[in-house]
Amino acid sequence: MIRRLVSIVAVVFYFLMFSFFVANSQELGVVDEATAGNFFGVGARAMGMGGAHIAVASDATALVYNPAGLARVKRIEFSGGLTHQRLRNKTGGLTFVGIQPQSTAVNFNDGRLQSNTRLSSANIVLPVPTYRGSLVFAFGVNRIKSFDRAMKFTFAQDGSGGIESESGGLYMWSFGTAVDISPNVSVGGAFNFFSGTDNYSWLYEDSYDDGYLSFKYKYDDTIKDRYSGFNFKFGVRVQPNKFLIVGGTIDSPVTYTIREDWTQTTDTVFYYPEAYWIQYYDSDNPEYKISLPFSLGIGIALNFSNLLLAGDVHYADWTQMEYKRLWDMAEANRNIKDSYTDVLRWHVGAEYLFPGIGTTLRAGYYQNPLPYKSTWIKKDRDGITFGIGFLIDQVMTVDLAWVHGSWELNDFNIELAEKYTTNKIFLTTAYHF
Amino acid sequence: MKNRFIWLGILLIIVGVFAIGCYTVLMHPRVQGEEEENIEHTGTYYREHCTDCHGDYHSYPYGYYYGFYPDYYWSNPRWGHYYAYPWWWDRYWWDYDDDAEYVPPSEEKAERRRGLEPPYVPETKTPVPFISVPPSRTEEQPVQIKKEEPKAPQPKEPKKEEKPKDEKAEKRRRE
Repeated sequence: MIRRLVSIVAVVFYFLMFSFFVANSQELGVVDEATAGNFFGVGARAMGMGGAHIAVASDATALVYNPAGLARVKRIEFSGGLTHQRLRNKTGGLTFVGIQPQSTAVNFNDGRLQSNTRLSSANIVLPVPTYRGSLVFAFGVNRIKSFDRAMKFTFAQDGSGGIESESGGLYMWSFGTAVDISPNVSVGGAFNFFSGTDNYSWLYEDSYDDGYLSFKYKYDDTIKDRYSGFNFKFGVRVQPNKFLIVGGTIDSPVTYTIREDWTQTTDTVFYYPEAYWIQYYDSDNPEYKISLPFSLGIGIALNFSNLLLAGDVHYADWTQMEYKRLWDMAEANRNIKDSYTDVLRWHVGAEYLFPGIGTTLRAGYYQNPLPYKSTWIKKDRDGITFGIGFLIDQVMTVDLAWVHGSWELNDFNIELAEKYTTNKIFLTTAYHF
Repeated sequence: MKNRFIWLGILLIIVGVFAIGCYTVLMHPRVQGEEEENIEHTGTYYREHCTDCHGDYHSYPYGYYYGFYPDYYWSNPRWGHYYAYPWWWDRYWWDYDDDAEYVPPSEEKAERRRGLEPPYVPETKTPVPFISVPPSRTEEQPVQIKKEEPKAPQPKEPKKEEKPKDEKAEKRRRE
């Protein structure tokens, strides 16, 4: 009898400790900062070209890619767009290398599908009449980061498992201006205000039955983060001749203020032989800050008659991220130094125009490495893109892009292989008058 | 502290570009003699008769982007005549006075409104010099407005074949 009671107390103690540990981990959230290295893409033309747009941008999306490109806009422009994303997650047991057999701990072919359709952009560009050169103002809002994500796995033995779900995004409200400082050199800048929400939930269910002692356990964690912050983006665009365009951008550090609401519940039911029910509940609404580092970008574009080739490189050192006003801040910031790394994100793309029918075809590729220093990364994030654009009745453009991306992770703790594939559709339309 | 220096640097660049001077010109610079001019929009005033001072006006008209456009801007008017063509060159419905007598556009204006063409070469096939001396000035004099006898434009007889080059304006005029 005493041994059985000790067993129950031990199991309860274990789960309470587990809950406490997870609670603190989630509160810190140091290993997975949703805003770090999160490139989603803006504008169908840009994404049709793989996101290579620093040198190319000459429409409202210049607010996002390179504000200096606004100087090339000669028509008042209204534009808007939406995106549709289908993210598919597949999980399975890890396949070991060598003679070790394939793990059977985790069910194969498990996973989850999440699809979201969002309004992604609305912009106004106003070129000011000039006697010489160019002066252009622009205002707009663009969804620059997406937090939409899902993951599910189930253990083969007892059907226990977890579901991770995340949705939301970060919108960037921008006011930008660009000016020609010489016939072929433009500079531009944009003040950006960021605002958005990240809804995260993690549900884990487990059960145990050895014929003598049985229990069911459910852990539910919900986090809602509301982001706000601002920064400044500076851009330059140089076109030394008809064939070549070079662009550069500097994103100033951005400090997000995060207002968080989190709740955690743990339900444990023991059957021994009567049912014992233990519930743990906790919640809080802390506020803290996180500052993201400088980001630098360089782009080049080559123009051969109707063919446009473009390439971009972006650099950010995510180890410079820093939490502020956070409980246990020193540990959180130490974990950032240990877990994150600097990242070179690159994009290439091409566009071919059929002038007679006002139609453009586009294709591109980009690699957007995860900002972690981890052996868990099996395949880094990348994407292949295709696009088409139409000029309608001279004043209106409609662009469509399809982006197919994927990445893979191996969680060695629970021998879980995670594979993510995304299919994104970008639809953008603009009216010029 | 580091961030403050960065912001200060960015601010200085912005202020420098706009305050010290810039290639981009929003307003026509004042010309010597303008103050004494009896400003009347007669068509002889220099702001309306750009070619009086700027011999290269056909090459670089008001609002012209000096840079480079892709070839298809010129080979296909759907692109060239619209997206390389600033909105302030258009005439919109609010520009029109329905009761006013229609005045056909002058040769210069019509030339401009037909859209941009690659490096403009006048009919003489002689490239226009980049900076030209106004016809009413001697070489020694700075650019200024001629006070006496402003050069009035020669009225042109409207020729039927010259007028409808700008189809857009023509269409609006009919409406």
